[in-house]
Amino acid sequence: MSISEAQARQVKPETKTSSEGLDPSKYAVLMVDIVKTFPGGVVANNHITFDLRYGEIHGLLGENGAGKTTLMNILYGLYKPDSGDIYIKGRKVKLHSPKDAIRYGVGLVPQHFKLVEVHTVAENVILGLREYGFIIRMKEAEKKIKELADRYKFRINPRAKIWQLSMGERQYVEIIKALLRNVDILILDEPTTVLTPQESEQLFKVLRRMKEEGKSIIFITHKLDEALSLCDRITVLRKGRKVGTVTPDKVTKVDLAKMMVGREVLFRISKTKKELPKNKGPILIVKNLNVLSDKGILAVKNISFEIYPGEILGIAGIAGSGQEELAEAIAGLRKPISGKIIIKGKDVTRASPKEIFELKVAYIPEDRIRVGSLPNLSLWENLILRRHRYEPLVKKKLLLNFREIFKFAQERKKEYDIMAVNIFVPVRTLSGGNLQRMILARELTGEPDLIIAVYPTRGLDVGATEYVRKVLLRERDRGAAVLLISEELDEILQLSDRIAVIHNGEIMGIVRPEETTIEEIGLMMGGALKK
Amino acid sequence: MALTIGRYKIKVERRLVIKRELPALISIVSAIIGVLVGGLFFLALGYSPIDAYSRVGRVFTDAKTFFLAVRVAIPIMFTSIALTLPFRMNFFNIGAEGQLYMGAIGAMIPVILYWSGVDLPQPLYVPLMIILAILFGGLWGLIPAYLRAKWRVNEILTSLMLNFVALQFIWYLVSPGGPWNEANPAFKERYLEYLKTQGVTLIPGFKGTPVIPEFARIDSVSALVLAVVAATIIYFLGTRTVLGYEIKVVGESELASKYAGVNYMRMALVTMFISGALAGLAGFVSLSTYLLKLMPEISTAGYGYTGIIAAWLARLNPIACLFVSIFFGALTQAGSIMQQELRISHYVSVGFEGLIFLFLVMGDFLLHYRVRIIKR
Amino acid sequence: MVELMIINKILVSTLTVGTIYLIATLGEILAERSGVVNLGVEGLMEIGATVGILVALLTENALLGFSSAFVIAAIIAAIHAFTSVTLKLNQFASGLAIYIFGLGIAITVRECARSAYAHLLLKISKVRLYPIRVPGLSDIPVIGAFFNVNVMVYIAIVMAVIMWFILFKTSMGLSIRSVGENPAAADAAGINVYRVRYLCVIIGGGFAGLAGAYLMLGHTAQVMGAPIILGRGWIAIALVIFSFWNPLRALLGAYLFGGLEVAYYWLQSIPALRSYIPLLVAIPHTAAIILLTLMSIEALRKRIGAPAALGVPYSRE
Repeated sequence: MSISEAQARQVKPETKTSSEGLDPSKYAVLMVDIVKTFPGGVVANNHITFDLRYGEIHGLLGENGAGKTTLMNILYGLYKPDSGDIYIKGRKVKLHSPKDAIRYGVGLVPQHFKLVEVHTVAENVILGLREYGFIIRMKEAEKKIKELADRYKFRINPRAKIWQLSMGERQYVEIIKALLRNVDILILDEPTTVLTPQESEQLFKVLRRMKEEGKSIIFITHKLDEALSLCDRITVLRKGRKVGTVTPDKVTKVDLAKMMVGREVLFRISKTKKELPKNKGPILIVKNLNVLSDKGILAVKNISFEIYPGEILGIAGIAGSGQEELAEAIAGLRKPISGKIIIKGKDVTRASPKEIFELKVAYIPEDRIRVGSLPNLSLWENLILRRHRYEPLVKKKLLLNFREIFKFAQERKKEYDIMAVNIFVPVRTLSGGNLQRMILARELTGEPDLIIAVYPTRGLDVGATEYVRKVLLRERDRGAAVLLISEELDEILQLSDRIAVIHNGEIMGIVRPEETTIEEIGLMMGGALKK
Repeated sequence: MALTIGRYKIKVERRLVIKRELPALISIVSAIIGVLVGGLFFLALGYSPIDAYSRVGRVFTDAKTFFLAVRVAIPIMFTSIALTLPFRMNFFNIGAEGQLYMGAIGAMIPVILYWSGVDLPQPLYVPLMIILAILFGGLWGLIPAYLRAKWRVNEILTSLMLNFVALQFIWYLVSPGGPWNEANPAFKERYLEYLKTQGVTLIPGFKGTPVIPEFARIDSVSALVLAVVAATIIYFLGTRTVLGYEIKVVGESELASKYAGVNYMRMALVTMFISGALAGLAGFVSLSTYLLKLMPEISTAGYGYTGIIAAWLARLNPIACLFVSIFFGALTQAGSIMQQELRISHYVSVGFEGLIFLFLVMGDFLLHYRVRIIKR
Repeated sequence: MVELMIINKILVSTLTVGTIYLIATLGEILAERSGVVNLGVEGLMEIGATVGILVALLTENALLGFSSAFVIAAIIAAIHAFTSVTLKLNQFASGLAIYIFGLGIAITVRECARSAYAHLLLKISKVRLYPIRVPGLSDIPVIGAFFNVNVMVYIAIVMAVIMWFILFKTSMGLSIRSVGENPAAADAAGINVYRVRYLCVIIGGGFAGLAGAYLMLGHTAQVMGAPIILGRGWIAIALVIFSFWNPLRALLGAYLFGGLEVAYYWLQSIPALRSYIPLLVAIPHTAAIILLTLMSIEALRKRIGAPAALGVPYSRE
């Protein structure tokens, strides 16, 4: 028996799933035997019983697709459960919409902010409220917002327009929205995805203050460290079922991971230490690059770096620091306003996506559904995208050669293990993991020299995530250069040969994972350190 | 979504698999429902629907009326086929009507030249008219395409405005005093001679061009053949070529198409030229088979708009467009019958078209969702 | 002095005709602010014209004519709302269908009325709107024009101001705008997105009907079996874009196009342009295309846009 196994045996998680013995009046929230199925047969919540005590911070832990967001959406009135009961502060309730949930004192800070970008903070916060009059008394609202912000010690300008705010600031707007509605139960859905390590700490301070004031908090996350450091109790969900509820002092990271996944999880993928080939020149040179965002603001500020064949350069940074615009500029989707991009010696600063593709550059986009695939078209139609103009898939530059096309599609489907009935099904029926496999199949055929991967494992379950990482490493070993953009620091640390940290459009430093610490990277991500 | 009425529970679920026959079924059912509901309006106006329907039924029983219906259907074939490509691209070309007018204008040029005294070898006229119809219609279609591709100008509004502009071109050309009006002294020599042989005189104040001479006309059968050829070419283009594939891609996701290296400007221009060209041919066919003179009345049937509905009903399949167009030709002819016999404006057929379209659009709901009624 | 009086006349016509555009544009602004495009405006205007004049003639009451035009158009717009909001189907197609249907049925009914109820039509002069005359004020050059128009002109301006106020200064307006920008955010804030959209589309449609009735009763006053709106409904849709979905800016655009239409009459009197009269009719439509293009170039540069969720159906799950 190994030490971890002995420890696992000692941990006795609570797994009560029936309402026997549970008195609703003792809990801030009690959800009993919740079942929720989605069209297609996916059982998102499979007989889950969940409780939240008064004045606690309760972590809801699970990997992507485990059912955490669904369960909380039910609590917030966005979804209706197929069966099961919900008690809020001792009362049995039926929630038809978020309005009901708010009435009972439940507030949600969503993972994807529900804010109107062109309106001000105040307009967003008072949306739907009657307290500020039919003819809006804006000054009154702004004053109240400032009061609340001061009480919990964060800064917010009620007159600022949302599009001007950083992600962290927008999150505080969501929090104020809830507070203004006098909620005493607050749900936060993956709040730290958009924060630097330092900003996360700041948020935790605010949450602890709220706890002191008597609020009860549910904290959804997939990050084990956070759950352990912040929460009083942690409930783990896996594939729609509750695995158990534990307290942080009685479990380790390994235990939690095992509960989340059901098996031993490798925390470090063995990576062969590679000597970078010194004789080959860089595949990609970016020099003094400046790129504008959609809003016309400078998103990429004077960035310079190089990537060599056979290495993975990870770009670490919180979402919205300019990485997306950088990737789009290199892929030819966005024209920089100044600077140079040179791929294999050719100046491609103003090149089209087609020309860049012809230089054997692969692009794995952030938005799998809208940019990376054609949801209503079939698998084969998706697989031939980008190479649909070239031999042998095309005869005489005009006609589609269906025999070659179907052969190609079948081979890719097999090679990348894409789970689909056949190559004719519409791609929207594919799961997230399979969709990514399709995109990889399409992009990595033809042995590209440069691969740009933007948040390639976002939203994928552990199995799919492992697969993607394995494939990226394989490509690197083959000699390709990989530009990896990810918000998961763990992922960057595991996979990258070098790490470039980006903050507010600038590169704060390029380091090697062996030579740095998480704290240092966090400081760079937050703009506090420059190397 | 679920709704409970009494003992029945109505559940609405998203459909995962769409049966292949479903779109066609919905098309047919919507058309039937549209016609039936339209009948209710007859009642409201004080006419017996049954009486109206039986008169209309003659379109299918009487050979001569059926022939008239087919003749009217042919331009609709061209406009509906014309719209299959841009609609697949999610480019809402509402300007087929204007492209039809411009095509008609282009097609008239050789005729006008002829009556002005210019002589070309006679077999050349029809091919020349066809080429000019294609050119004029195609170029007119390029305008909304360019504006959309270059500056994202809404193509629905631009193509539609151009319809009104094109119609005014016709008015300008054919009004009394206008350069193409039949009373224009430039035509006096030849045209009056010709009219004398026919025993006809000029009507003062007539808004129209001189008639198309016999050698420059085509008969309905040839026009039909032309339509079938067009349908086949467009079908082939849409399913077997790179262009067709790229059109599908752009229609599915403009963003993804950009990422895939598709040049939107090129696609828009090529697709809209083809579309405008075919709509222009509709204009040529209308003139050459039955109108025989360019007049503002070319607009009353609204083939460009009917084509939109026909293309939709035919699920953007050019071959199906041929058959759906016959249905709409019959509908239009029925409108004429009702105008002549019951003194109801022929716009009634437009009303029916709109109703059918409405039910079709609503019927598409069943394409994506399944409605189940469960008895408790 | 004579020249100034001509200016007065032009201004009166501009205000009168511009009001048609204004009312239709206001209605569509309301609908689009909530996120729904209604392309059926032209059809609804035709229906409004038909209903307006027939009811007015039958009851010899112009007010009843206007009200029923509003109501009937609103009911038909409700169908569009049902298709777009509840069924979540293609808004452009549904709007187009209403355009075609509206056009067809409105003209058919008018033609019927013309032949069957010819005696009714003699009463038109009793129910149509006439310009008011304010003694003294009406004769002032330029400004006097403002006191020489029919009552609907004033009502329309008031409607524009009220709509502006509601949209930008009240919580109801904030809700409407939020629904149009980010329905998910509005939903999360407890607003009934479906109800807001239904109301805006229905009322907006009613406005279109009202505009059509006004065209008939205040301007054309002739029952014909032919189209009467002639593209103005479509221009109104374009005007919504020109006015950046702002009712006050709509005043500018509406009167501009009113003026363009009127220019046609004025230009007619120039002998050199006589033979080009049909082309002059196309001035508003051509201007619309040019303005739309200029706006799009501007928009690309200044990144001003439509309500972000315009044309996109909303569903929660």
